[in-house]
Amino acid sequence: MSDISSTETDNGPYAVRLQGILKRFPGVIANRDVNLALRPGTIHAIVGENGAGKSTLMKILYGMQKPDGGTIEIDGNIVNFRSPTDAIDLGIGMVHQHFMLADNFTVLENVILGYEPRSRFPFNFHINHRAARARIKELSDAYGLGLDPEALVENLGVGERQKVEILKVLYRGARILILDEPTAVLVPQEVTELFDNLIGLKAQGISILFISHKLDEVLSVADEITVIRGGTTVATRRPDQVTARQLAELMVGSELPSPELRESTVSDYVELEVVDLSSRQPDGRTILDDIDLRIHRGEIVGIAGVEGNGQSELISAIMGLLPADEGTISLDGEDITDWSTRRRREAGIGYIPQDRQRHGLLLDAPLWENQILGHQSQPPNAKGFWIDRDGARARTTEVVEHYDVRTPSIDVNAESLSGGNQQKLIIGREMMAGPSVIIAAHPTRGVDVGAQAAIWDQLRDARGAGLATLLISADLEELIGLSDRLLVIYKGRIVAELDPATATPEELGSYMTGAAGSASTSAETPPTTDPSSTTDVGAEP
Amino acid sequence: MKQRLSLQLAAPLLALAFALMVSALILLLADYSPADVIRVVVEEGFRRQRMVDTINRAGPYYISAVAVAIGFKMNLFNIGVEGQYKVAALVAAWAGASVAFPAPLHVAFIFMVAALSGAAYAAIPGILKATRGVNEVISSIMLNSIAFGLSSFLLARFMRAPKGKYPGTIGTVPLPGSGRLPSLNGVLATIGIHLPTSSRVQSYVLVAVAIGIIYHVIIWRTRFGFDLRATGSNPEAAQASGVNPKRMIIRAMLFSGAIAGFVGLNNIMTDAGRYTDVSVISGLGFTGIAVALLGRNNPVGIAFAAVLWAFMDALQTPLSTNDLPKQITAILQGVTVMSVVIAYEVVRRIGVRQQAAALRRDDMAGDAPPPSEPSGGPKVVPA
Repeated sequence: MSDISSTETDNGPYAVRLQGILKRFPGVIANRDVNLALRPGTIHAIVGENGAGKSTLMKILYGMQKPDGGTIEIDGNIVNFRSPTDAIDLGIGMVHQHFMLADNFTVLENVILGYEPRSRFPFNFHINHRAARARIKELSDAYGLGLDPEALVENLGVGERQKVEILKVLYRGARILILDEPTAVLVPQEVTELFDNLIGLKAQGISILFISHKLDEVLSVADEITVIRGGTTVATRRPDQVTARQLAELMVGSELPSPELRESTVSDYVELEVVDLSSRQPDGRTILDDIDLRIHRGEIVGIAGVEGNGQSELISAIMGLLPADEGTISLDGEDITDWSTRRRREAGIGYIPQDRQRHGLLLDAPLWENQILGHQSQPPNAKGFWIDRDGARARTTEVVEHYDVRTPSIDVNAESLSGGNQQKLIIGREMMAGPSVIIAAHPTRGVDVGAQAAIWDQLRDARGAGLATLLISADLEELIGLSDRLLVIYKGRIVAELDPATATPEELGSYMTGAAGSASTSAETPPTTDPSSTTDVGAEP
Repeated sequence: MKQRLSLQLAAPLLALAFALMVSALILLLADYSPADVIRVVVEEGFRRQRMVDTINRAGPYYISAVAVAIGFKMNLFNIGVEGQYKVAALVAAWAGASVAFPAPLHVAFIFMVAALSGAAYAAIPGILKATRGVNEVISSIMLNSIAFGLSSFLLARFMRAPKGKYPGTIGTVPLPGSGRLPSLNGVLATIGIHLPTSSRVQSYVLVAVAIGIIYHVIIWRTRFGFDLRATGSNPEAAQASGVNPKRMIIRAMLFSGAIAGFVGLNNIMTDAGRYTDVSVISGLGFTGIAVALLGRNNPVGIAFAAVLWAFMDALQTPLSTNDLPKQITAILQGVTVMSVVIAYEVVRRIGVRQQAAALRRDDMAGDAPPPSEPSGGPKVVPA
C-alpha cells in the first residue's frame, strides 16, 4: 500500500492531500475520516459504490461544500475554500459528469465563457478573439486534444464535448483535474481516446483525480486507486498490486453478516410475478433486460447491485410509473401490466420509495395529509368523492403511535420531521393500508440506528404476516439480514441468484461489478486469496 | 407555528407599506403632494358611492383570481383566463337570450353555459400540454388573442341581434328579466342601508362568495383537490401515489376555465343585459393573476386582495375630479404585487432557514452517530 504519511513525495509536495475529512448532513454522515493523497503528475482513481460518498468528497475538494472537519492541502499548503472560485484560483478544475456547455456556441466561445480575454482598446469591452484562439490552439496541441476552436458544440460528439470541458478547465489554468465518472457517457472507443489524453496530460505534469466505479478502467489508467466505502476511505492500492475482484471486494466490504436464524415463512403461493420484463429508454438503450422475478407470500426477495443498474427502473415498472416494453407483471395471478399506478396501489401494492422526500412526501403539507398520499382513494382516507378528514386524521394518529413517529402533532408539516421519522411515517402508512405486496427501496437509507432496527423489525413482522416483499438496498447487511433470496442485478439483468446464508463477499462483489460471469471478460481472475489478508486496511476494528 | 403565522401576515402588510412609500416618492418626483392624495382618499374614498363601486368591482376580480389560483395550486399558470371569460360571456349571453325559462332556472342555465364554454376554451391549452408538452403560458396567451378575434367573429356572424330590431352597437339580444340578477339594494334597505337607485349593489358579489366556497371545498375537501394540491406540491410524489399527471393537467384546466367562465357575466346579467364589445370589460383575467398572487391562492386572502384592488380602482374617480393623477393607483397596485411577491419569498426563506436550524439542533442532540471513531483506513501521521 502507498504511504502518504510524509508530506513530501519524490517530486515535491503532494498535489492534493486530504486528511481526516468529515462532512455531516442532517441525519447522515456523508464523509468521515477520509484520507487521500494525489502525487503530482499522476492519475489517482477513487472507486466506490454510488452513495459511498464520492460526490460529496469531490464537492468538498472543489469548494462547493465546506467540510466539518479535517484538512485539505494543495501543493503542500493547507487551504480553506469558501467557494469554487477559491479552488479554481489554486488550479483545481472539475469536469462534471453532465456537460455544462452552450450548444449554440463554438468551442472557443464555450472555453472562454466567463474568462474572456479583453482587448485594451477601445474600452475593454471587446473580446480578444485572436488571443483566445491562439491560447486554445496552444493548449489543444500541447495536450493532444485536437479540437477546432471554431466548431459548433452542437455538432460535436460526446467524446469531443468532454474534451471541450477538459480544455475549459485547462484554459482557466487548472493543474489538478477532477473527473467525475468521465466514462459513464462514453462508448469504448471514446474511453480509449480519453485515456490517451489523460496520459498525455499526466506527461505534462497535470495531476488527475478520476472517479469511477468501473474497475477494469481504473486498473488500466490509474497510478493509484483509493477505495471509498460508507463515506470513508478504506484502502489505497497500486494497480499492479490488486485485481478487479479484490477491488470489488473492498468496495462492497469484507465482513458480511450472517443472516439471523429464523423460521422460514415462505409459502408456495406466488403473490407478485414478473416475467420477461424489458424496458428501453427513448434512445433505445435497454434499462431492463428480460427480468424474471417471483415473490411468494411471506417472502422477502432482496436485490443487490451497484446503483444505476436498473433497480429504480424495476421498481418504477412494478409501480406502473414506467411502461413495460415487453413482458408481464402479475399480482395474485392477475395480469396488471396495463394497470394505472392508482389501480395497482388499490389492489394492494405498498410502496416505500428510495427517495422519500422526492417520491414519498409532500414536505409542505401536514402529516395527516401525507398519510393520505398514495391511499387517497381508499378508506379511511376517502368517502367516495370526498376526503374523509376525520378518518384520515384518526388513521394518522394510529400510524404515529404504532410506528413510533416522533412528532409533536399530526398537524406539523412533513419537512419538520427528521429523516428517520419521515421514513417511519411512510412505512406506517403503507403497512396500515393492508397491502399484499411491499416494494421497499432503501428503506433505512439515511435514518439513525434506532429507526433502522425498528424498520427492520417491521419488515420482518410484515413477512411473518404473509406479505410478499421486494427489497432493494445498497446496504448488504440489510439485504442479507432480511432476505430469503438474494438476486443480483447488473446492467438491467438479473445475473445471479444467491442464498443469503451462503453468499460470500467475493461472490456478491464480483457479480455486482460485472467482474464475474459472462458480463465482463476483461477482468482478470487470479486465484482468490484469503479475504482477510487482502482487506486488512478495510476491516472495521 | 404561531410565529410563522404572524410572519405570514406581516409580509403583505409590510409590502403594502413599502408600496405606499414608493408611490409617495413617485408623486413627489412628479411634483404632486402625497398629502393631497391622502386627503382625497380619506375624505372621498370612503363615501357610499365608492364603497358600492368597490363591492361591484371586487366580485369579478375575485372570481378571476380564483380561476388563476386553481392553476397556481398545481403549478399551472393559466394566463388564459382573459380569453376564457370573453368567449364564455359571449356564448352565455347569446344562449341565455335564445331560451325562455322561469327566473331561477334561466339564471342557472346561463351560469352552466358560461362554465361549460369557459372550460371548453381552457381545455385547449390543457390538452396541448398533456399530449404534446406545449407550455400552457404560451398557448393560453396566444389563445387570448384568438379569443378576441373569435368572439368578434362569432358575434358579428352568428350571435348578433337582428339589425332592424336592435339598432346601435353590435351585440347579442338582451336577456329577458328572468335571466337577470336583481340588485341588493332592497335587501340592504331592510337592514337600514338605504341607497339611491343610481348606485346599485349588484348581487354578483354573492356569486363570487359562492365561488369562493366552492373553491375552498373542492380544493381542500375532495379527492380531486387533494390530487391537485399534491401534484402542485410534489409532482413526482403525486405520480407515485397514483395521480395520472396528464389527466390531472386537463382536469385542473377544465376546473379553472369553468370558474373563468363566470368572470364576465356581471354586467351582462345586470345593467347592460347583453354582450357587446364594451359591456364586458377587458383585462379582468390579468387583474386576476395579480389578485391571486396578492391573496396567496387562499380563498379568504384573495377576498381581501380583490377588495383592496377594487378600492384602489374606485379611487380613480375622486382623484381625477381633484386634478390629481389617477394613474398613481395603477402604480400602487403594481408595486404592491411586486413587493408582496418578494416579501412572501423572503418569509419563505426565513421559514426554511428556521426549520433547517431546528433540524440541525435535533440532529446534534439526537440521532447522529459519533463523528469519528477509529477506523482501519490508511493512517496519516503528520511528519
